[in-house]
Amino acid sequence: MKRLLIAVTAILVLVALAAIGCTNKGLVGTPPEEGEEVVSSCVSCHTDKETLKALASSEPEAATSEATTGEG
Amino acid sequence: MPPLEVWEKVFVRDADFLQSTHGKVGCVICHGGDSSADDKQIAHAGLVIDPSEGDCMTCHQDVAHANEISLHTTLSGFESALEARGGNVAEGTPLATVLENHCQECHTSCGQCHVSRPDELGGGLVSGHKFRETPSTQYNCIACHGSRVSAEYLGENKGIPADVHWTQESMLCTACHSVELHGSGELADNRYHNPDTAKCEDCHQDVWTNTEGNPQHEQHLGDLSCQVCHSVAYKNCYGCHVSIDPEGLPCRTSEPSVMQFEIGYNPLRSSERSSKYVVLRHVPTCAGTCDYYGTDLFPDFDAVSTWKYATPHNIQLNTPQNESCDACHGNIDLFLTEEDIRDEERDANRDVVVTDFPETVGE
Repeated sequence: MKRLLIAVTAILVLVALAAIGCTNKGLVGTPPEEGEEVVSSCVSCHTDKETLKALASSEPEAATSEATTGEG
Repeated sequence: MPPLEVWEKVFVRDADFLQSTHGKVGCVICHGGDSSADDKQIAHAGLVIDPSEGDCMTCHQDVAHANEISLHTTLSGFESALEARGGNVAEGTPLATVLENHCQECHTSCGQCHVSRPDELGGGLVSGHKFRETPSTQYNCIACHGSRVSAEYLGENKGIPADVHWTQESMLCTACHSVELHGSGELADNRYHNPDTAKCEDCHQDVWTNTEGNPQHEQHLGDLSCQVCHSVAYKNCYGCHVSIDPEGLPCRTSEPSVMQFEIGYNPLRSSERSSKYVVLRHVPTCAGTCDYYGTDLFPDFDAVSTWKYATPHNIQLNTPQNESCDACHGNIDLFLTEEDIRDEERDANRDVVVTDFPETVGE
């Protein structure tokens, strides 16, 4: 009985670990709960062309050599 | 291809994306930052611009695992090419620096094929952050494979027709190249080592099963690769040299490319690629390509030909060489001979130079 209990516990732990690994691996933040409304300044800015234009800062030009010639 | 404006690169123009599977998880899950902040600097603190590494694996484990060691990710084709010539690419060696300075920029990621333009082209969302199962031919495939493949395929080389798969069927890259793009699951030396590589017979099986009424196929299917009869002149490059310019930036010089068509012996002959004759393309590499970084970096330069197995993307049903038997038989101009080889590359190409030319048959 004790062995069975240990086996069942071990399986449950493995399943839980697998589930955690599957859902969160590599993710930066926390996913929203089901039905949770996502209030996001990301969305409000990045879907508004005029806001993006107003806030856009110039990117540093990619440093490429003027000595390069020919085809890559 | 003109670069996108800065704001365009990050403009999520299609609000439907937010209702998609990827959109619903919320921005910060993948990109980090602070979605509750109104200030741009605070909102962008800790931002991950390209979260491909790791995040895609969460749900797309099979393909992401395979892709981790694909040529698109590892660029192992560059390393294997250097090593095949005796080059040492171990950490800290001159060739490791060459790879870092001149090759790594071609690395791609999941996102740079399925979401945005490659970094090499300045990046930027392709379809308003939509995740495209099939990458954009124009903004992803051609963005990197532009100088040879796309120019041939689209007929951009002066006097050379576009590929018949484009002109007659408007086939995009992924019509032929699909699962192979994520690699085979094994580290490959080059793209031809993938068993899933596109093959003509994937679609044209009938050519192999029924040669009746086609004496050329009847006679040559076993000996010649399809391109020998159905390709036309393609781009060949010479004399690439890499170095660091006076400004400290990696630079590259090469000679003007040359449109040539050369049939030679198959340098990759195997049970998978059994043709004796194939078309060969001259690669930019020469013995002195990396001389800026050191001397004798390729002690076994001649171990590999500089005329490489090629599959040009300018296929035609009718070509000058398949007009008649004698359009090819006896036409030495079509074949790679000693005269076509530069003196310093003769030894490297000794196994691909044709010595037994087919004689004229009078037809």
